[in-house]
Amino acid sequence: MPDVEGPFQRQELARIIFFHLPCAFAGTIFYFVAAWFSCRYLGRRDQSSDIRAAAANEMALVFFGLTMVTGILFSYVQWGAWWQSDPRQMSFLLVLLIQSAYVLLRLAFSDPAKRAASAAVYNASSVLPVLFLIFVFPRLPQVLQVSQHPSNTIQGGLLRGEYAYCFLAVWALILIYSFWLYSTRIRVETISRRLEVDDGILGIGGAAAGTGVVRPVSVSDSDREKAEEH
Amino acid sequence: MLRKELACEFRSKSGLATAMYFATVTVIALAIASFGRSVSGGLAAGIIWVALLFAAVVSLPRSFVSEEEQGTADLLRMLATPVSVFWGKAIFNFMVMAVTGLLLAGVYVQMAGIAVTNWGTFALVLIGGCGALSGTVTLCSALVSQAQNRGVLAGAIALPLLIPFVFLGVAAMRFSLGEGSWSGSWPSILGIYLYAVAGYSVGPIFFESVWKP
Repeated sequence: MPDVEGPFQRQELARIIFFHLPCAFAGTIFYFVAAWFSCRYLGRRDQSSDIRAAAANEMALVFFGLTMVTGILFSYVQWGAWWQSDPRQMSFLLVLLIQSAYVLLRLAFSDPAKRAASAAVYNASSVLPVLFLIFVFPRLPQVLQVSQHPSNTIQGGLLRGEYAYCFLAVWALILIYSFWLYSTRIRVETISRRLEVDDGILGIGGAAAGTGVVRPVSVSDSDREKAEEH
Repeated sequence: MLRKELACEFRSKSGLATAMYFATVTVIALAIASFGRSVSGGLAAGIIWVALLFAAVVSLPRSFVSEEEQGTADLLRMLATPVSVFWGKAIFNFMVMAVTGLLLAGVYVQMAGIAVTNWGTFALVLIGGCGALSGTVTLCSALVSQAQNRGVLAGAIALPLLIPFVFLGVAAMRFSLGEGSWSGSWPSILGIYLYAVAGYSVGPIFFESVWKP
């Protein structure tokens, strides 16, 4: 990959765009997938939508985290500081905090139905602030004046040639891999919940019961034999 | 619902009194922290909004959390529709927040010696801001009212949703404290009121989803 002309401390630093931008795009896509399934859950009250929303939110959190990490690495090499307090860094940090609050909210409930409903409402409520933070805030004139974050790389036609092909290839790979991870996560969670419902045994990957919560446990002989077989 | 909230508040007098006490102590601490140095209009607007934000997440979640702790939430579920419960709580929270916000901002500008150049805009921003804050925090406190460690959680989940809104609040208030221009402030004032309208419009719909047993 050839070096590019630009105000970089090190020319190879430009290649971070192959990871930084696709991660941000993938995170945003998964966030909206999560919001869509949260809204669907509120309409249908089906477990499948809740599982899909939670899995998409986890994926969004991972990709937003990777975007943040690659951004921090770039900031350190380019500007000499891990944290620049750049408005774009701050807005992305807030998106990350909103995603983390969703996870926090899920952890606070032991009743699955209440957990699903509260998490879905929170995710749906967060759409407006997240839209503002991702699409409006970075384009405000006062933010553009002070931000060092490049904002017109694609719109300004600066991403071209080998860089454009490589960027698209990495983005496609990340999307394929992330959707495979997403579908695997959905399968794991579906099986986990089915196990919990079917035989009352909280086995693989189950969350700990909350204080004062008694899990349903089968007590009949036939059920005990079944449990021993497991 | 609103009458019930007001009657409970007049009986106990703890909610509003605690919120006002918290607001007063906060602004006194902030004024002391500046050590007599003059604070610019932009910075003062930021300080006021951060104080308002924390006053909201400390005092407002009580409205739903106390219902669950006292065991009266199920009675409300039987006696009132979810929409009336939400509106009653939200309007009551707005009243608490408006009194707290006006006290907080008023005491701070006096103690820090900040000149308010446009009182109308200052009040407009404060009222709109308190409306938006109370709508969002009411919904968040309803979400966590049946969760474990709900007291802390309400603030923890409401804060990330409100920080982007604080940006609008600061941008709008700067003009009334002698910085910036009206042309730069009015879109932010509009944004605050739109945020409040959005919160109160979708709030009852979302609330119904979590309030049902």
